[in-house]
Amino acid sequence: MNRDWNEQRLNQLFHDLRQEDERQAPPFTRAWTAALARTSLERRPRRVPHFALVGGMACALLVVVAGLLIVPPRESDQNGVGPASVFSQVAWGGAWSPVQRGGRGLAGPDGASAQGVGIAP
Amino acid sequence: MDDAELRAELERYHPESYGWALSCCARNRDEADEVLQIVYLKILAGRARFGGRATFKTWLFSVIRRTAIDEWRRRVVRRLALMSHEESGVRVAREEAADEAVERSQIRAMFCRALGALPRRQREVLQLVFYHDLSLQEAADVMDVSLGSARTHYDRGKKRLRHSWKH
Repeated sequence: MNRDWNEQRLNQLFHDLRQEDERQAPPFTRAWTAALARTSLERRPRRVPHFALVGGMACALLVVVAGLLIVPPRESDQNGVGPASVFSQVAWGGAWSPVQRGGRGLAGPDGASAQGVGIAP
Repeated sequence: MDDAELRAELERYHPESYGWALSCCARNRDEADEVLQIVYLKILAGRARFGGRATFKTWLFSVIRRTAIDEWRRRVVRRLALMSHEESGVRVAREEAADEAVERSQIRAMFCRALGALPRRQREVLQLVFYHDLSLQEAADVMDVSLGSARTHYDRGKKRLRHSWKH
């Protein structure tokens, strides 16, 4: 087997290799048709949900739920005093509250009842 | 370039493209076939477009080279994931063994082995210059390296190939 080496030899070896490869090359139409078939597959609409999108939505939902559970409720709720009772204390000055006066009706700041000051029922 | 022209050009270069794909896929015919299909798919889908900056052949060869590298990476990841023990070298060795019936085939097989033992860039530049008749500048464009770098790979590759051929 001749193992001589020079530029011409290299050219010849590559030339032989090229001829052999071209002889064994698959026909163009086969590769082209396969590529066309793959193109139509790629263009087919997606039937399965996009996992990244679904995962993102699940994470967002989890954050919202966790936020609702973890964030402490407002101070007014903790004291059990609703907006209505605060309003009544401010507006009526506490002493005016009919509840605190034992349900006697409207009472003045000095403790006199409506009857006492001559207000007709 | 319209679709008909594009197809005609691809068909004209198909045998050479296959040869280049073979070189980029360590002479594995199945992988070369697959790479070429993916290249045509990229071109059909408009993911690879000929801008006219280089010759059509140079552009096509650079697309084939990039695709082959991407596919090789994908296969490596897949193999790692599957922990497969199958190696492409086994198939290549089998193909080469089948060729050893004739002296001509034997020489070719030896040459392929010597070529396969070269570092990738050296093998690429020799293949592009001697096999595909490209100039060093065109080979540099395909390989995405400078002309100086391509020349260095070319000289080293020739020297190394000569050395491995003689021993």
